[in-house]
Amino acid sequence: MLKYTLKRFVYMVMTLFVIASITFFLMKLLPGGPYQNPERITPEVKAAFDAKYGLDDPIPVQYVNFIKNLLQGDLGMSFKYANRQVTDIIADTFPNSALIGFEAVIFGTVFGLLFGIIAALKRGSFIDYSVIIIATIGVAVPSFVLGAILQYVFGVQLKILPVATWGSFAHTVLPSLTLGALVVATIARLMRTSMLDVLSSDFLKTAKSKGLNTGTIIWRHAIRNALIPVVTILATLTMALITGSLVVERIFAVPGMGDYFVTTIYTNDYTLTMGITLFYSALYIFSIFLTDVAYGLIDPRIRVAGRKE
Amino acid sequence: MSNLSQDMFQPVTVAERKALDSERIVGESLSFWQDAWRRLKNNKAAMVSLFTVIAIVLLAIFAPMLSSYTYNEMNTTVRNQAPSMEHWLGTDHFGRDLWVRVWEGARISLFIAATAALADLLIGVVYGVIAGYVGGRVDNIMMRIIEILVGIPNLILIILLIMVMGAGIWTMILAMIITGWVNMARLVRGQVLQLKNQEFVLASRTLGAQSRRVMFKHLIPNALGIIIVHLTITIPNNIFLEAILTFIGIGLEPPIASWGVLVHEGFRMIKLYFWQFFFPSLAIAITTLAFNILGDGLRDAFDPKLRQ
Repeated sequence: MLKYTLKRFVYMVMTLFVIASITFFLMKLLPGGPYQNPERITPEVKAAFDAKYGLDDPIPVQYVNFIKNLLQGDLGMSFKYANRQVTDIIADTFPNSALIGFEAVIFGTVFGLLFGIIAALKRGSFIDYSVIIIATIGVAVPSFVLGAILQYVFGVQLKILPVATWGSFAHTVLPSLTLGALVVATIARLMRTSMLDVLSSDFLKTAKSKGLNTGTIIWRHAIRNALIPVVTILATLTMALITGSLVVERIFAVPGMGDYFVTTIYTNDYTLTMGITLFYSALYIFSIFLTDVAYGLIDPRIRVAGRKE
Repeated sequence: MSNLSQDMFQPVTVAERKALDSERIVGESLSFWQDAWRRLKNNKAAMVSLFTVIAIVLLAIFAPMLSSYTYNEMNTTVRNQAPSMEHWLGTDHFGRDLWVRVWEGARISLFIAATAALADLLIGVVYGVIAGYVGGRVDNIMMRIIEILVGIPNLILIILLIMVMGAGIWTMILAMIITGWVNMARLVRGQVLQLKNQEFVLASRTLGAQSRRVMFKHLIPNALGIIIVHLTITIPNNIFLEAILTFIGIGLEPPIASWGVLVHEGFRMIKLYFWQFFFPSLAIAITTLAFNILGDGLRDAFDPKLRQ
């Protein structure tokens, strides 16, 4: 198991290194420079700027410096926000995104599991079909449509929640709901299938024939085992939340990292784009790593395969 | 029991047995595809989705041709009109007919999504079959490459590519291919690994079939079900991706009238003229819904475990 985990860890580091390199060289390939009006600044000023940001070195030297700084957790300075470290900007904006993401995950997991379990237990009933329909629509309706509808109904018509911007818990409700809808749909579908699988398994029949009461059977035997496959979507979910946050933060004007990220692309703020890209990638890769390890812990077949190598 | 005498029983002769015909296969023999189609037909939701998808494709092809308006024809006298007999879905801020624009959008969005998905299929199948069939060290190296690629968040890669190459239909397609083929390759490899040790493949090789014949005659046709299911799920995902990227402002730009562009333009007018946002969104939602349900239906239809 330790060997398997270590192997996963090495992959994680390798992938991050590849992403860092790809990002760096793609940024160097970009047409145009970071200066808004390069023809208006004098050569001396430009040289001073280049020296400050390390742009006067040859590209291989820049690359080595970039990787060196990266290893020390230094992502450089933003081009557009004078004298601000990229890490500071991430530290300022990420908590806002994370808060919404966290609320969405809580909301999505609780309702997703609940819906999935009830649907599986009442298979073929009206409740089951309602859950299937909600889950299918939840996957098919784009987040910007849902966001716009929620904004219109609760913010503009009913006026019970703020339409946009940031400040209190009430401000986070609509973005979290929008982001969480996808989580609910995904988890409900998966949990339903997984529960149905477990419910028809032999060990459940054994539990029943032992005379255990229904509550114990469902709680101790069915739900626990049905949760195993659900763990595996952690990485997919992380990516979906990152993608969703770009849209949701735009619609609800949340001062989060996603919105910053999109803005850096407009403004050619290379260091910030690179920094946030790496941050997102690290987040995603770490979630893959966690999934792999969790799966290895849960599934004995993978444990065996890991040992063999 | 005791009143059953011995002479009530007689052995069945071979001739009688033949006449009884108990060994005859009564049901007509169905090929895999016939069986899948029969099961798909019984799935109402999937059939409705299939016809919806066909209708959307037909409308995308013919609706712009049959209308008296074109997607980029401006008419400032009819700006921002609500849906009417003249303009079925209303008009936008330049007085362009939304009905035609929605179907022009379908053309572009479906073209991007389908082209990218088909290219995924080509690359993924070739890569997956080779890795799975050849096995050994080749497979090991090919899978290590994939393992690293899978770790790269596709959205990030797509955004970086758009920054470097500039936004456009082909950039979008290329970005989707680069990030999409990996999943197809993994899927096909897994399938090939399962299939290649089965008896029929072994039989074919024992009879002297060449690798190419085994791949094209046995492995790919048997993996086709899963490939098709993956294709039907990839297309709506690609439509989504285009719409989301364009919506946040880093995807396509006018005058291209993709669904993403329509939604992006409509969102700015949502409080005043909600239909400009509503109809393109509805088109995206219906299309992705139809593809998803169809994909689920196909998965069930191709699944031998559910065969009755």
